[in-house]
Amino acid sequence: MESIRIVNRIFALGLVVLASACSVLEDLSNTATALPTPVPPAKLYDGATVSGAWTPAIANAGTINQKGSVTTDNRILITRGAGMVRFQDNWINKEVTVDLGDFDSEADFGYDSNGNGNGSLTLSADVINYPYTGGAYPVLTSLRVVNASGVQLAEFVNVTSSCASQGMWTCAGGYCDANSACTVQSPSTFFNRDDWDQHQTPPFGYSSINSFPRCDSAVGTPSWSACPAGLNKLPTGRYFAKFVLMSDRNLSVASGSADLRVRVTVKKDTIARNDPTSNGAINLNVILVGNSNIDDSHTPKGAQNLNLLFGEVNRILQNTSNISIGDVKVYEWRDQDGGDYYSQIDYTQVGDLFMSGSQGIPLAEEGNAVNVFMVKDIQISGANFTILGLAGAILGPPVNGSYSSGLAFSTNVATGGLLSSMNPSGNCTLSSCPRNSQEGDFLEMGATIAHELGHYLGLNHPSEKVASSGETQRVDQLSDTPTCAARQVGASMELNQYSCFVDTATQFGSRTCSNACNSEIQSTYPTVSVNNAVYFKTGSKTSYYCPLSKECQYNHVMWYTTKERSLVSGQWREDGNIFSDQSSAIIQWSPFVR
Amino acid sequence: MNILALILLTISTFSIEALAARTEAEIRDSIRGFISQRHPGPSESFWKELGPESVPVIRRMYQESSSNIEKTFLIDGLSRFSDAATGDFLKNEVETSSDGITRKKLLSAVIRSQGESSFDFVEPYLKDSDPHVRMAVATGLNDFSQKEKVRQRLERFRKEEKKPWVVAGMDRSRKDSEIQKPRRAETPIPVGFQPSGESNQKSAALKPLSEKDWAGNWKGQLISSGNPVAVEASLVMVDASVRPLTWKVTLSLPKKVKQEWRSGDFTVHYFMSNLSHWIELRHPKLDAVFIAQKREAK
Repeated sequence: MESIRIVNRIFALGLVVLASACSVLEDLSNTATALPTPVPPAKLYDGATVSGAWTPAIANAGTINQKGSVTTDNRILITRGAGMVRFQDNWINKEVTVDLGDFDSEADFGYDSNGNGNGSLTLSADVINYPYTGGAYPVLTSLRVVNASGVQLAEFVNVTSSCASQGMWTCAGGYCDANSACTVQSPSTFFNRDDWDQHQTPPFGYSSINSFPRCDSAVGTPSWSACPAGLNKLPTGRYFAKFVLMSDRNLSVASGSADLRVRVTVKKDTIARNDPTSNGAINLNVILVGNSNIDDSHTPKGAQNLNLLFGEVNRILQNTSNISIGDVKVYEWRDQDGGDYYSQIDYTQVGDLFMSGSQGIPLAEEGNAVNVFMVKDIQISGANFTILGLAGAILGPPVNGSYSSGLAFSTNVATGGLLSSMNPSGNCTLSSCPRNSQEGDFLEMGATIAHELGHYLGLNHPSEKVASSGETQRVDQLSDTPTCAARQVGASMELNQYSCFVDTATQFGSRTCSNACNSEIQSTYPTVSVNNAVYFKTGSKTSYYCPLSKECQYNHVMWYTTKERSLVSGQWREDGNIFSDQSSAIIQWSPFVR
Repeated sequence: MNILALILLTISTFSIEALAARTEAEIRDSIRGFISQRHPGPSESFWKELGPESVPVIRRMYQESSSNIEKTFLIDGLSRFSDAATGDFLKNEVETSSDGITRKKLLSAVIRSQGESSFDFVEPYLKDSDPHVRMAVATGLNDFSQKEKVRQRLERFRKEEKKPWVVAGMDRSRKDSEIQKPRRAETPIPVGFQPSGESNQKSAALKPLSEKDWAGNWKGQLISSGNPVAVEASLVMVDASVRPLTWKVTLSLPKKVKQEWRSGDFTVHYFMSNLSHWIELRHPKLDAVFIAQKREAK
């Protein structure tokens, strides 16, 4: 096995090549055998150079929001000829060790002598030159730091020995279940097997994305035992990562080999997190997919709606995280360049959308901005409904060209499904469109973008829905996002604001969601009883608006469902969109937040 | 009738009415709960569990709704029921809908609801001006391609369709027997892993180049001290008898300027994405990097 280390301080520049390489891609894509879905190669036009394109004018957004204390560095490390295993195989002698190099806690990550700082290390890994149909996941099994004498200072992953000896999964009939003996053990920065696995086998494609640190007791104490002393920052030392290349093939891969590519993003930030003045900004690449969205964006109304939409995202971000939208670049992906194909997609194509579309972003921009793809419609195979939006991964990669490189949103949502027809209210003119005159579905689009952005920056839902009453509730690892149990309603389990309201778990002292919200609004609205729980009746809907109470986790931006809204006397009554303190702290590690 | 009986009758009547009212309210609440999920998963079992008595409620909600996204869920719900009234309702909505996305979803719903008997109604939409509508109809009818009439029409469609991705999309649901995938509980994002579909076949179709095949024409960007420059290059093997192989490269710079990098002055690294072959040449003395994709021979 040959290891090649490419320390590439200028690689961000070098990646410009992808944008200009489309003509080469065309040669490949025009052959039906090369691409079974023969779509023209992505060619994105920079909105700044297109006459009539949307020029973002988003309220309170801009580069002025950036901290000015952040720099990022990128390296690519390639290990050639690595052996592979299947999901169910043991991986004895199959781990690939990658020498990430020496890092200095202060010079490379920006930590001071007290450990204050906001630097991070992100490993975006994928398997290239894979020889079979399907693909292989690069599973991170260790991140170890040693000092100059070779003494181990930290191990951030720490999996049980059963993983190597028994394999990670047990498989039968084409499906694999987790081997319960293979999990993470204390001390580890991963909460449990689920938490670890989530970053090794993301939903689209075959990349793994891991970022460190993952917890910090100085900001708020995450509830898991996996934030031991020393693992809440990155120490000075030599860093070694271990990966197992895990193929999804059910036939033997013992004789096969492939190459492992690890893209290392080093974020240096000298300002400690939760700074009272600003926590920085996130740049966005907004990619309008298909002629319909593009043409709409060229109209005054379409441009206004895009400004309002991202203005709502910015409002939510700033509201409780003190993070803003920074620079916004616009790209147009027209029909003739594949935009028509990707403008209405099934969720199984979303990975292709991210991979193909992000390759059209100039590589000088790689890692500088989160890619936001605005398509017309996303739907699930075998169903007809529109999905509001999706994130490429929970913790998205700061690199382009991967199946996880972006967020995707449907515009087939508010009035007419057209950017140029939303917010038709008479009070919403081209010169002014107050928030109370904007459509509820439109505001939900903004909330959805903020929500998916939260996923991309590493946040989970506070609680997940369960399939049956006996199933263990999956929750995030943050102690300031309350747990809300899914409830049996009729034949199915449901997780909505109603199920939260009956939850009596206390947070922030002795308050529950119920009594906190009672004191907040019970004098304003009459109550009704549905499904043995009390709700406040507003307008024509039975809803429960309690936007200020952090005890009610449905007020969290990352809450499992969309928000309830009612227009009462010309004013929106709506659930909150709050980032908890710990959520805000987690996302500040992201290399996109700067 | 004594007073007790009157009270009982009143309570009983009230209860029945309340139950009936609550049933519709509960159905509506359930549907709203399902719709409000940010990442809803497969929907069939949800709608089926609501039962056929929910169909009129779904239809009413559809007619009352002004929300595009809510309507798409309700169309999905109706598609799970096969009664004639639902079929007629959906067909009528197809004929009155003005936008392509709604028409596409309604036509898929007609096919799912009415099965192969929908053929005569949906067949004309294989010529719809919107390629996504055509793909939705063709994909839906594909499930009934064992029927001769359907098979022949789809065969003709495949020949006549101008957009290659429409035809390719019809076969997207194909399964790959060589692949296995992890099974897990509800995930935050409504997907399983992605072992089947286009991406697999892309990587299967594009084979890694052996080292000797690195020779040839490459197109990419030269990065040195100034701005990156678009460059084409010819990579030539100098000596095949040594390992690693030695190379020289001729770079065609703008304004017809040629630059040659000699063997030993630069390193060669090859890698492959899902779509293309890549090469990276590094020339430490010039502090230059050339990153390029393989230019295939025409």
